[in-house]
Amino acid sequence: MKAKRLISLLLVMVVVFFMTTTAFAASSSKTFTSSSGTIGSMSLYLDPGESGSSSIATINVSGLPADAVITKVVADCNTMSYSGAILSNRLYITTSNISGWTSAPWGSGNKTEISAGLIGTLANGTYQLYYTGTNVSSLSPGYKTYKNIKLTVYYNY
Amino acid sequence: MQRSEWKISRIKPLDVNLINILLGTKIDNRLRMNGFPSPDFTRFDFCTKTAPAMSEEEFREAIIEQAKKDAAKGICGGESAGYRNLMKSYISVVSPDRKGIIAKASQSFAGKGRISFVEFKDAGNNVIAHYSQNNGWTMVMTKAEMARTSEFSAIYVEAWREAYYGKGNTIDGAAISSGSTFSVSV
Repeated sequence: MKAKRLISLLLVMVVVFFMTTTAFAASSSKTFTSSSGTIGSMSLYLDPGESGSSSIATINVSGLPADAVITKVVADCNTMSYSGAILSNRLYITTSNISGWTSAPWGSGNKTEISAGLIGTLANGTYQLYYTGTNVSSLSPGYKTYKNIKLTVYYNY
Repeated sequence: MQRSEWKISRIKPLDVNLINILLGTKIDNRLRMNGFPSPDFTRFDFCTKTAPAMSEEEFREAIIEQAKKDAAKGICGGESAGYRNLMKSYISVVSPDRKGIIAKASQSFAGKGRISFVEFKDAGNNVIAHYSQNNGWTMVMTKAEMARTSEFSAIYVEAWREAYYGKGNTIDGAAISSGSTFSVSV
């Protein structure tokens, strides 16, 4: 009987322990959209054969739990205007919680996922993005602007 | 018109081949004003190799203390000046010598025309910085800097949570306690 009580007690302690620790292992995501104005757009103009970097778009991420940490972000850049043949090469991103920029190759379908350099860092903050591109035409200048960028922040808290 | 004046008035594109083998820089071939401005390495997001300000154990203690201070004020992360200063100090230990690399490149580009876009790489061919007319300077993190950032964040967030939630603070209206309580009936 005493052994049964001891086993029951141990079982309850294990269950409560995991219930308590999972309070800090919840996951969620939220999407934030940049404005269509200059501050929320990445614009790039290039002469034939040139490479360069776009202007910087700014997105404010707020309202998440104060201690939410990023697991990954996905930038959906499917609202664009363009002329010519600018190939988007890489997307660069930083937040107000890290001291530098990180990047990833431009994603297929204009959706780019980035986790390197962001994973484990705090999620609330000001995010900035720009892209590098190349005008693959040898004859004509080109421009490409991405606006209303949808940034989905995946986080744990 | 003298030959030198003719060259200036025609403003021909400058044919420059400056793929720098050492630095891996690229330059467009338009003639404009000279070079590029020096970056401001006092900025939070501009890290360059710096001797450690303290030992690793002292860094860890400092991060924990900063997290406690921020939790007491109800702030977290980059909104805290102390967080930003400490993170920059911590990361810069493993940063490349961006200051030296960029200064050396400035000498190479002097007199070559205004730069519209430059990509700086380290010896491993990894991008460490961009300069563009659009944005000025952006410093791109190395793998070492990213790893160091993750370490800093892990120490900070754990200490912040202990300090913040340990006081019985709530998240989304649900009370979270750092300890566990239970009742057992057998």
